[in-house]
Amino acid sequence: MCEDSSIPDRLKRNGRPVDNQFSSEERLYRRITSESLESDDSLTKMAVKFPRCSVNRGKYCEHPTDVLYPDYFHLGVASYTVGSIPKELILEQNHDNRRFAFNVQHIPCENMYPHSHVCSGHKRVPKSIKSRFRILLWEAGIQIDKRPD
Amino acid sequence: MSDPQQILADPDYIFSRSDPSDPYLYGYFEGFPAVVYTTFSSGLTNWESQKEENRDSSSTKIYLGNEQKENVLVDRIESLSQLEDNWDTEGAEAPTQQVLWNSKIVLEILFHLELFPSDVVPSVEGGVGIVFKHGESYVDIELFNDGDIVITMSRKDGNPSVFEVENITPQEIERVRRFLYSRST
Repeated sequence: MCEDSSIPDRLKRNGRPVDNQFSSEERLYRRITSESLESDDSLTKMAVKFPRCSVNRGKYCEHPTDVLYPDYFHLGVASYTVGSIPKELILEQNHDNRRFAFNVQHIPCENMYPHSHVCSGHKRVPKSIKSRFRILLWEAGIQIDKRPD
Repeated sequence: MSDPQQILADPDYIFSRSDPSDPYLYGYFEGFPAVVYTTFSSGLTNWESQKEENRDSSSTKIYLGNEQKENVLVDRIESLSQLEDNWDTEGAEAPTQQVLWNSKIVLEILFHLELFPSDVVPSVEGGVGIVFKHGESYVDIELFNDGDIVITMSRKDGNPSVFEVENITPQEIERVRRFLYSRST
């Protein structure tokens, strides 16, 4: 994804530092395929990937389609705000009340400075937490910025 | 033999029932004054409700509509078998043959119980999602490649119900139906 000379200079890292300051209004962009759309043309919850999920942060993008570089321009783009990501979910299963926190981390690549991850600090997360995260993020509003060709 | 078992053994059984007060067939449509049939009109997710007095004049249409809808959903599963790993360009696993087979079985049970999903889609988490929508109510049955099954129910109120199940049984399907068609409180 991050190793192509056709990527514009403005998207390349060029020595810029990691910036982990995210405003709640900042948009996060992600590629979507035609399989991400249901028959009524809406984005399916099944297209919401549980952390770790690669996104491009809007602060360093000029256009939502920047996430389609270098050669994914036949795909679509969906986005959501940082503020729509659930901050924390509690397992509430039998006597297991573990808390799972979520955040966004700026993980710049040399050829894609906006590259970031939505992630959890836990390596293993129960599927019930995964599904709650995905439905809450989906219902908070994921916008389709470009439909797949 | 219970009603769900009877229906699975004999799909025509559901059509042989004629008592509108039967709680098994009609108890899920709380709030409606008369027996209500869901009918497929046009498009995969375009459903309409129809009162009993209209049933005779359109029974053939109802049957064909359901058959068409069943075919579309089964075709969707067939199309998912064409997916390859990394189909989302972000490393998603393609649905396995086993999960596709299991999804077909779940669909057959749903068809026999007259509960039709709005769509069947691949999951970026690896597996298949069977999706239901009715008004503000949303349910999905997600069958994962590793064999796990998770049901998610939500009314977009920020408080979804999520639970793992061992198998999809007629009882689980009735739970889905009740959630979709009961009035939210």
